Amino acid sequence: MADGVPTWEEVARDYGRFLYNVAYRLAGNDDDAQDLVQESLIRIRKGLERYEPGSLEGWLARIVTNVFLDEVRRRKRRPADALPDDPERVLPTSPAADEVPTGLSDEVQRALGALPDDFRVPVVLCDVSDLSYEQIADATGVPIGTVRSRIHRGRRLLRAALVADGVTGP
Amino acid sequence: MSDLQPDLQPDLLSAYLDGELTDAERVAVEARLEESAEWRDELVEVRAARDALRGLSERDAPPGFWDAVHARVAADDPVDEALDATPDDPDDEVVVPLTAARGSRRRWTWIAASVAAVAAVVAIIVVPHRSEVSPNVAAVVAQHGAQGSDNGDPISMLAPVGPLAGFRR
Repeated sequence: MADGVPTWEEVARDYGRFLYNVAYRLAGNDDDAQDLVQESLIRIRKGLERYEPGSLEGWLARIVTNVFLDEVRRRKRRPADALPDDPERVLPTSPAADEVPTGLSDEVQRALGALPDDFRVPVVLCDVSDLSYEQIADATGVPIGTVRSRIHRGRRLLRAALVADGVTGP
Repeated sequence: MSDLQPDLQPDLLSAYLDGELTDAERVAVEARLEESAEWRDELVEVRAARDALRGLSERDAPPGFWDAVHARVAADDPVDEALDATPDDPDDEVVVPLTAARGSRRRWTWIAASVAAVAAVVAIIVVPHRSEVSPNVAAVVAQHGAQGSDNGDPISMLAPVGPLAGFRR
């Protein structure tokens, strides 16, 4: 690490889990999360020379978010790519990861995945990435008041979905 | 709705939970919570959603993933990068196929679909029409009609398709 700027290998090593979690919660499945992380690291590698030390996690979350939103836009242009169950896998999903009892995780992830992107992104950045509203506004390019509103509405929608699924009481 | 803060919006409640309010906003929200059961209910709702999300376990990448990603990112040719018109913001770059294997499989899918479409067109053009298939049904029908006309009884020439039916008495 020189002048407080890490190498991309250091980012992958120290923030890989952070990147993967954000990607997984945004995408909702391992295949797409792997693709998002890989593309994000390529952009991180290219962008690090212009990175100015600050909130590294905020910067990384911004890149993952932008890769995700680019992919969403690309799939909207090519709906054939938007199949939910793409059988093609770069790597097999970890059997251990699938076998671990997740409690309500699957239901919560499903409800999260059903949120419109405008709500899911700020909610994930807030509750999964633990970014501040200011960092989320910077990452998503929307005013902080909009971030606040979308997080609140996103949580209410998520709560309503969980109640409708019988996951939790009203 | 509070007389003191008539324009207070409920979306402040999430910001309240996240510690994202100014002191003045926080005081106003707490005052509203004191007086409004509706606000208290909404606070319970968003807190439950927030807790559910924050309680999600961390997701691990599958074994071997990081080695594969290191190889892929390291193989991203820096010479090509230098020749590229590098944008100021790395986020503005066009999304490339995210995985070589998947991209390759998709390309082959398109090629296979194209070949199938061409084959279908050729089949339609080359395969003979039904009227050219032996026996020529139209000719047989015409001949049968002519024979029937010769003896003045077109119906009796037809073979019965089953036992003759009749009314029983």
